[in-house]
Amino acid sequence: MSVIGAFTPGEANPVAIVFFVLFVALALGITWWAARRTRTTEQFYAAGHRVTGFQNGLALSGDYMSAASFLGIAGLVALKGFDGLIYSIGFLVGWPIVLYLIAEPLRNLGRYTFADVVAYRMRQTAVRVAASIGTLAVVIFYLIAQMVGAGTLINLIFGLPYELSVVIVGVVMLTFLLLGGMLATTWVQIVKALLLIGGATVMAFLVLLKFDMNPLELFRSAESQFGSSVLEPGSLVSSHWDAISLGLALMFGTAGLPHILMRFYTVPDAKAARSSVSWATLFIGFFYLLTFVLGFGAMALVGQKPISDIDKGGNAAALLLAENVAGTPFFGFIAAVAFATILAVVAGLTLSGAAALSHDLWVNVVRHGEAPRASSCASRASPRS
Amino acid sequence: MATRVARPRRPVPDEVVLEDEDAALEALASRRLRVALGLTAAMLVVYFGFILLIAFAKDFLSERIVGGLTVGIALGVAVIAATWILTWVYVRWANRVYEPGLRAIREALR
Repeated sequence: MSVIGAFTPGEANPVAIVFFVLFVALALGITWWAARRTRTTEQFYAAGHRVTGFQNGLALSGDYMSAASFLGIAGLVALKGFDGLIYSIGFLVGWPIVLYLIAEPLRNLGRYTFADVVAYRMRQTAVRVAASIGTLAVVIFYLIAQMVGAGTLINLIFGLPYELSVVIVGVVMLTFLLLGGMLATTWVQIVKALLLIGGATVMAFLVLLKFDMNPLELFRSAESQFGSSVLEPGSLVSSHWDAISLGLALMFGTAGLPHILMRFYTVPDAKAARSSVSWATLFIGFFYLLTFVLGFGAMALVGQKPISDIDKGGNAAALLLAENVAGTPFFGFIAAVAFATILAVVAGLTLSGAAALSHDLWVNVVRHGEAPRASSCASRASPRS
Repeated sequence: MATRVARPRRPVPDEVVLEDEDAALEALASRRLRVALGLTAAMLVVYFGFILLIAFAKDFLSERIVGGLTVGIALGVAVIAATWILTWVYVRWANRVYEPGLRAIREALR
């Protein structure tokens, strides 16, 4: 592994550790506060339906913008150019569809999971089993990816062994969930969304400062160093079918994520559900526009080789760029933000997995809709999924 | 299927009124569905238009508008802007037409 500036992979970065500890402390504080307000199943899974549209919009953005959106896309653009941007765009365009077709009926008919809505008009047991299998499959695969990312990131930044890193993430996340439920998760998402959007905005601003605040100047610089093809399609999607299949997967695959759908139950009514989606679309679209600047910024300022030397997938691009534009303290801050991002997404995913297990499978299939007390117990035992 | 509006569950004494309000609710719900499907179609056309250009018209997307800006990047920004606009159009419609309509029906049922 190579050494770039003050950033040595596998060595502890004190600034990153300070920011990371601050975030975990803040999140635990939120959890402690939320735990005292969480008494019923309604509160545990849906934050008592009392989150406002704007707050839920931020929380939706927090749930949605995972490490893949931040580290992944920035790296993809830095290494592949234009084709990386297809991800930014494809991840966003599912949101209006969610708004038009899913958000309102979900809020009107459901209680905790999207299976509630489908089960409304069909045979309960079969529908719930099928929906739970779908949810758990998504949650488990998504969780594995996030945990691997978290382990690698901690290993890279704090110098802790990979296995220990994964265990730490698991323990911290379980503490949030078991104690604070949806209310704590919501506020952790809000804090994380603000940190992520704020951090990315500052970083994009610092990048553009080096190019007279003109993105075209930045694109020209990237083009002159790495060839005109970086601004043109074709590096990732070589055939027609590649492009079409990627386009379909990005749009529809991300529109139905169970931890996103679950967020619609935290607001009081359909109107708030609508407003939360439009806020989320605004925030997420803005963030993905920033990835244009961050990706090409990393390409032009850091260079492709140092990025791919650390990680072939390009996941270090955003971190290296932070170091490049504002030195080690900012690098530490961005690293902690990236880590907070993973932690928050893991929390959201686990909660939706827990809801599928305990609300859909345990209460409504095994116990046929009885025993809310047992549900609460099951959910507190189930986040191990 | 799931786009139907949850009916306000309130005991209503007068059957005739109920039928009227029911029809109004049906009309409002199907109007919402038409708006929602129309906007969905618009979003799909915009996005898959972009994707199909990537699949079949790479040369066009590679053309320079000015130095440093390809048609592809400009259209990418435009798709994100279109997402915002289409979201705004629906929310505006829902807040100006759909919500007041629902409220009027609820009032009538009271």
